[in-house]
Parts: sequence; structure tokens; C-alpha cells
Amino acid sequence: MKHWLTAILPNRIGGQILLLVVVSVLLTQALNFGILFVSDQGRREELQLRTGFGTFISGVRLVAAAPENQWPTIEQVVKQTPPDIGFAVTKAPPGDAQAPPGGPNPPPEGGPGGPPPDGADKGPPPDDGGGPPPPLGFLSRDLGPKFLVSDTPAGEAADGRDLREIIVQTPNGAHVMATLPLPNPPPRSVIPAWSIFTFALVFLPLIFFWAAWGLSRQLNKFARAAEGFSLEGDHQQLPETGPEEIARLARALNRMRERIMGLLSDRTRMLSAIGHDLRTPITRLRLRAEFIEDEHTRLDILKDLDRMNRMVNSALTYIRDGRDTEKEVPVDLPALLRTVSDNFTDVGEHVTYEGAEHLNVKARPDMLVRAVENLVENALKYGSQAVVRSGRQDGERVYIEVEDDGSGIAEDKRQAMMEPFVRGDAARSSAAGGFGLGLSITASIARSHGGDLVLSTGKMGGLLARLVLPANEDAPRQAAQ
Amino acid sequence: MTTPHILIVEDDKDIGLLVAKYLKANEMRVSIAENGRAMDRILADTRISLIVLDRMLPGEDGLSICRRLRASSDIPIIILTAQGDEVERIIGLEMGADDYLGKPFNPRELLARIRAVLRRRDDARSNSAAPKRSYKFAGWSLDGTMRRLYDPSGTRVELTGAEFEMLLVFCERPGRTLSRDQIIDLTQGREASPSERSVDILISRLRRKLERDPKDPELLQTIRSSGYLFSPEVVAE
Repeated sequence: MKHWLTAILPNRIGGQILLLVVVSVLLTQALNFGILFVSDQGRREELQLRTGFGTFISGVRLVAAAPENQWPTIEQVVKQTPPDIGFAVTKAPPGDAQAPPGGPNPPPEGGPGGPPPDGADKGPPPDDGGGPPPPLGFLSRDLGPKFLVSDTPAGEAADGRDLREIIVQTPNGAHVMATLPLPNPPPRSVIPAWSIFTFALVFLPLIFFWAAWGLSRQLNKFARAAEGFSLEGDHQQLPETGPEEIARLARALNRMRERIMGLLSDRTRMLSAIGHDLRTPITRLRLRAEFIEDEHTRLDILKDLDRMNRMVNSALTYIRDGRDTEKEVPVDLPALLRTVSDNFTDVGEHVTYEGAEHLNVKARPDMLVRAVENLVENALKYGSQAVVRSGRQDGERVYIEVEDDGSGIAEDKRQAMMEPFVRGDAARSSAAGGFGLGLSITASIARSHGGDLVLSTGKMGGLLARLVLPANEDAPRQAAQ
Repeated sequence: MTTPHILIVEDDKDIGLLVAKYLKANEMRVSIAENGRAMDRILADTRISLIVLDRMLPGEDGLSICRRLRASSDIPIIILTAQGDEVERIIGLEMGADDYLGKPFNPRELLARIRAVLRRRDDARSNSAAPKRSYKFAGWSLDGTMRRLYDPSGTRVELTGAEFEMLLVFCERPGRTLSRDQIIDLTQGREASPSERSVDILISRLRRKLERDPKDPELLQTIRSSGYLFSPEVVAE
């Protein structure tokens, strides 16, 4: 089904849109014709009805033009002509008030051809019979002012229309009678136009919306693919199908992705080669330093070596983070945060934890430890103490906060601080150490957990780094014990 | 105890010599091999107490040497590898290494690890049982290989190195009252050896993570004027 569809569909978006327009125009036209056909039925009925009137009118004219002795013949002929309209001709009673004012004037032989009598200027027929109601107005119009038309109700026709007994007094003194149904008001041409308009207004947008949706769905897929592009795991190739332009775009995106992956892996290889190569000399120096007699010098060298090692590690960590394969497991968040802050406390730093006692979340604990360590290291770089907090932000999220008493980061620089290789203060950073990777590693770890890192100013005036993570809670820990 | 004889398998000459120098200064006999074949020659005619094995070696690499050694002997092995690489550590320990140390390392820590591994071996030999590395108590489980602790619901509870070592000491000796001095002695040479005062700090930290009510401890009990007692039944695996 789909196969032959794709076979006949044009290959390019332009062609597809053109096809769509043609198809929808055809559809509109078809509907138009359909409506016309339906309304045509009505018009034909109307025509038939008018034919009934037509017979009557011809009869009336014939009677008006014929001498009295031929009236019965005419009556006979008309009666035999379908439809049956109850045609009858009688002589108008003499002295009828309805006699035309030009009464003394015998009707001219030429009837219709004769010059109109002076009564021509007379207004509409007299009101004795209530006058023909507007639906029958056309009778007077068709016959002319010399004919007096009157009608009375005569029940209902089989199709529900009002029947009228119509009497026309001809100028030559005949009463022509017939029973005819009132014509329906002519079908309103407004109805088909309205439905065509509705169709155009409702269905055409729907069709085009469907088409645009199809197109934008593809484009959105690309946008999502580009958005979600990262070093994580194996990336899926975009399907190179659909209209030619879309397929070409997919191919281009796929190739671009491969090139980026290539560049990134080159960078990764280089950085990790540097990192690993640096480790050997650092290891040697670390060992040599043990044999330095002068305690002071030895400790200074060891401190520098530690700093170098941390920098190398942070670079290697940064490279590795995108590809970390650590699995999400249930973690006791406060225990993790206490562990991090205790590790700092044990080497003489002022780091305290406050907040929840137990809070289970699903997370990658090693990455999370690294994220918080980075925040604390950063805090201690610019301040003298750090406070770590955690708690529930709302039903679905938990937060981790690390606050220091340093000078904070200006608001306009905060976003930049989360980019790799950006440092808070270029002048100070050489003393503080680091490649400027700490916050960007933390931010990327937060994102990989489906969370976010937000920097602001804390109550102590320093930087307040807030890591918000989805809770993904399991059963509460206490219940399990 | 006789002087232990340590064999260092390390391709970087300087590192090998420096480690040797440091260990010799700390009363150990040391031999150096630059690769697997040199190691085999030394092992053939020398009684070696422990091997310090570099993970990255030309030719046969550290992991495969480790596996090969494990197939034929239970000689203690400490692997030196790139720092902070969890996967390396797991692979190393699964290959049968007794411990793991990341480069660059503090030589003091290497010395401490060597001593700890040797002592553990001695303990195990006298108990005629292989050293246990994993323990279960009161629903909790302590994974010595991965250095991880899980609560009864399976939630991972992070420990500092010192907390882990102390909990390991308690798990190895359940139901025994340990004095502060004993605890210091038993954890000595491990990653972070505590002072007498810090024993109390470590205990209170552990209680915070383990106990339902840290103020009324059930697992880590204080035995007045003598020390601490780990009360739950411990199953070694």
C-alpha cells in the first residue's frame, strides 16, 4: 500500500505541495458540482412547477385571444395536457365589478397584440380576493395588467405545498380557473456558496495543516537530533528517507555528525594522550620529592604536584564524562554529600553539610560525587568555607546547594563560567589552579541526570551553586528497614 | 616476620628505581623487572612476597600478567594504573589483584597498601581461609572489591575511605569489642589512618549513615571505657 503510494508521489517537496494543491482544488470543484447537482433537483422541480403555471398562462392567453365559442375546445386541449391543473373556462358573470374599466371596449381580436386599454395605468389588481399573494405576483407580471388575477386557498398538495384556486378574468370576459400549488420560494443560492466557502475554510486548511505537519515533523525530528547530539553513547543515524530535500538534509546532518564525532575523538585522543603522558613525569616527581630532605621544599613541591595532577585529572574527566557508562542506581543523597564534605574536612578545609538526613534519589553516584567535589573545590578556591545543603525542591525534584563566602561571580559572567576552559578571574586563576573545567563538568553532569546547574549569589555574599535533579525516588528508605 | 621481598614490575626505569629506593628505605627487599619475561625469570629463582604490577607494560600487559599469575599462584598483587579509572580498578580486582593504586601515587600510601595486603594474607593463612572481601549485616551489604555500601533497600550509601576501612575492620571482627588503639592499629596503613580522636569522629559519621537513630545506635555500640562493638551478625562472602 505504502509502496505504490511512494512510487507515484513526486520526489520533491515542491511537487508534493503542487500535487496537494491540485488535489484539493479538484476536491473543492467536485464538492461544488455535487452541491450544484443537488440544488439542480430543486430547480428542476421548480421548473416543472412553472411548467404547470406555463400551461395555465398559455391557456389563459389562448382564451383571451379566442372567441367565446372556442373556449370549450381550448379548455379540452389544456385539460389533456399534463400536469392536471384543473383547468376550466367559464363566462364571467355580467356586470362583474371586476370588469375592466375599458369594459365598453370589446376586446380586440388580436388580444395580446392589441394596444393596452387605458386601464393600463391602473395599479395592482383590486383587493377583493386579497390580491395574489407575493408568490403569485409573477402571474400578473407575466399576463399584464389587463388580466385580473385572484386566488383562494384550496387545501394542500400531496407534497405539502399550499394549493391555490386561481381565477383569471381575461379582457374578453372569460373566467379561467385552475388549481395550482404555490411555488416554493426559489432555492437560495446562498446555501451552496456557503458550504463551498465552509469547505474551503475548514477542509483546505486541514489538508494543508496535515501537509505542513508532515513536513515540520521531519524538521522537528532533525532539530531534536541536532539538539540531543552529544558524545553520549552510540548516536542514531537519522533515517535518510522522505522527499528528496529532507533525505538530503538527513544525509548532510548525518555526515556532519560523523565529522563532529571525528573532530571530538581527535581532540579526546590528543587531550588524553597529553594527560596520560603527563602522569609519568608527575609520578616520577612525586617519588623524587619523597627524598628531598628539606621538609618545607618537599611539601611545596608536593602541593604543586597535587595541583598539576588535579588539572590533568579534571581534563581527563572532562573528556570522559560524555561517554561515562555509569548506571543510575538508588543513592542516599545526604550520605553522598556528607562523604564529599567529610573528605574535604579531613584535609583541613571548612566544609559543612546541612539539610536532609536521608533522601533517596536515582543517580550516577560517582559522577554526582565528582560534580559536588567540583563545586566545593570551586567554592574553596574563592572563599574560605563552603556549605553543602540538600533537600526537596518539590514533589519531583531535589536540590544540592554549595555556597561559599567568597566574592561571588558577577551575574553577566555566570553563564560563561559554565563553559569549558572559562575561569572566574583570569588574574587569580593561575594561583587557584585548574583549567576552568570544574563548573562545566558539573553542569554537564547535571544535564546528564536530567537536571540543571544554576549559579546565583548566596546569603553569605559568595557564589551559590544550585544543582537541581529529578528525584526518581524509590520507596522511602525507612520503610525498607 | 621476615623482611618481605617486593617485586616491582614497571617499564619506566626511573619510577621503578624510585619506588625501590623508597621501599628499601622502609626495610623491604626489592627487585625490579621491566616486563613480564623479566618478572618470570625472577619469580623462577626468588621467593617473592608481593608483586607491584604496572597496568601498562610493553609486550604482555599488566592485566594479562595478573591473570596468568593468579592461575598458578596466590602471590599478592597490587596493580598500579591510571588514576581514578573505575573500570580499570574493577578489571584489575577481578583479574585477581589484591589492591589497586592510581598513578601518580603517594609512596607512603603504596607502602601502607603493601603492608595491609601482606597482613591480610598472613591473617588469612593463619585462619586457613581465603580473605573475604564482601560482608552482609542486618540487611546491609559491604562490597569490599568495589568499596561500596548498600542499605537494605539496595540504595548506595557513599562512604569516605576512612569510613570504609573502619567498617571493614568491624565487619572482619563482628561481636568483638575493639579499643580505639586497636582500631587505629587495624586501619593503619590503609588509605587514611585515624588518630584516637578521629576514631570517635569516624564512628559518629558511620552511625549517621548506618543507624536508624544515630543517638541510639543499634549496630555500632559504644562499650563504656573500652571501645566499640559491632553487634549485628555478619556473613562473609
